[in-house]
Amino acid sequence: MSGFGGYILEGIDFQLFTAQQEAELADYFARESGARPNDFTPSNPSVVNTVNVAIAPPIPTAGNLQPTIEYAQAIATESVAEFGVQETPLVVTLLETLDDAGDLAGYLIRKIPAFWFSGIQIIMNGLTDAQRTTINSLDIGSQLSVTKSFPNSTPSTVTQIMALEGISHDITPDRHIVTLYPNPSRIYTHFILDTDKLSDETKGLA
Amino acid sequence: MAVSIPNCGTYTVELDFGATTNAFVLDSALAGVLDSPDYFIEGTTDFQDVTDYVKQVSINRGRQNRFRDPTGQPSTAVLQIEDSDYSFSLVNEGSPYWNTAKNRLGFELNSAVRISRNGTYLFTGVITQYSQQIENPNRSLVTINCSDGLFELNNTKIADGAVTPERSDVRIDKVLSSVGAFGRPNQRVLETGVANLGSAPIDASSSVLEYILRVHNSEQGRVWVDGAGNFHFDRRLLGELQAIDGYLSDAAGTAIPYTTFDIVSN
Repeated sequence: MSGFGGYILEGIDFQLFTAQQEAELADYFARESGARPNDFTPSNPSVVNTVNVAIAPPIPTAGNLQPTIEYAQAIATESVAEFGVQETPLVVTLLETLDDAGDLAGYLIRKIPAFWFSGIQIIMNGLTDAQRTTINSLDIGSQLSVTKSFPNSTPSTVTQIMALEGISHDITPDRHIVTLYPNPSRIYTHFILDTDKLSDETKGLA
Repeated sequence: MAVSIPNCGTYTVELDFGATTNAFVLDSALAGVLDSPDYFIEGTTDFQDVTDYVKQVSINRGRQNRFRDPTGQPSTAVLQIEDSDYSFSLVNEGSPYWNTAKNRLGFELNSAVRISRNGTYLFTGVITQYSQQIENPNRSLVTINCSDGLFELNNTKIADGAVTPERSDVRIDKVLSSVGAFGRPNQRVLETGVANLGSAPIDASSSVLEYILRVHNSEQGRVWVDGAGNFHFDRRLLGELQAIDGYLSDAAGTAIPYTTFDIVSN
């Protein structure tokens, strides 16, 4: 994709713009970490259906003291219809082209609310040596399968495949408690015939 | 010495008090020989095993919610020390950890810290805060706050200059090299980035960490430091196959059991 215009991919509409705002977030403009809107943090993170990703404007010159910002916008139209516009602020990235900005904008879309298992507490004292070794080897980015049974729920067992984003240890002279913070991931696991569903987006073929 | 926790493993907490085991010493007949294979300019840190004094260790690494928490925040560790013999006291010149060259306690800001279980490091970083509390008549409690290498990047200014279009991981590698950070062999684990970065010049007024997070803002993967102190840059995941590293379940069987958990809705 090049130039200005737009296209639709999997329900996400991409458009490229030249913003009217001043280049107030250009890379050469310094702000302390706390004040810099350095993340695509929307006011409501449950659903993000409109994402704005800009590329750094050129450095001001004598003939162009206020360069405009060019940015790409991804819109999930079905999500907007269901939840209203849930938009990220315009964030100036270091990306090279508007095509790159469009790719990132599409990546950041979250069309529907999600839920996942987290804050999983494990008491190391109660594990086997092999299990303790497994826990000890886990680190950020590790992939976990977490299964929980629910007595009054359908289905009665839910398994989630997630990536580990955070880990904490509380160690005292008599115990070691590990808490895992996995998050939804875009990692696939192998599709198993007669077990997995064709529509399962977490399964893939090698 | 290392401490065994029943049914858990062997744990070690080590602190650097400013001494080295094999540093080059000018004019020394033994340690001052050029090209010596045994003595080096900076030497090897003489870590002190202080596990026997430790009452509690709390370590937090990474983030809890990737939709809410930014990546690239320094990991933290908090050590609670029962200073039964005043070895950790800031006023005890007789402490075995007293640094005679500096004439103060060797444990101080930026002293290295390592915490391990069965030889695998759970945390590697530096002291960021050291406080001693006295409960009358003479009980000494010491709290040591620590952060990993990302903390140091936050306190390091980046050099300004022009850059050329390149992938995100290449840019991060150059930035880390420019300040000599994470420079040991294999200390940088950089995945091939998805993001192609442009030529917007680097702003010299920002910290190295701040600029790396700007790079990450274009990538949307992860920036983190592992338990052994190695820097990691993970790329944006567009969907790929990966083996499962651990199976957890509340049902009986070989899967790892857990006690509590939350269902998080973003």
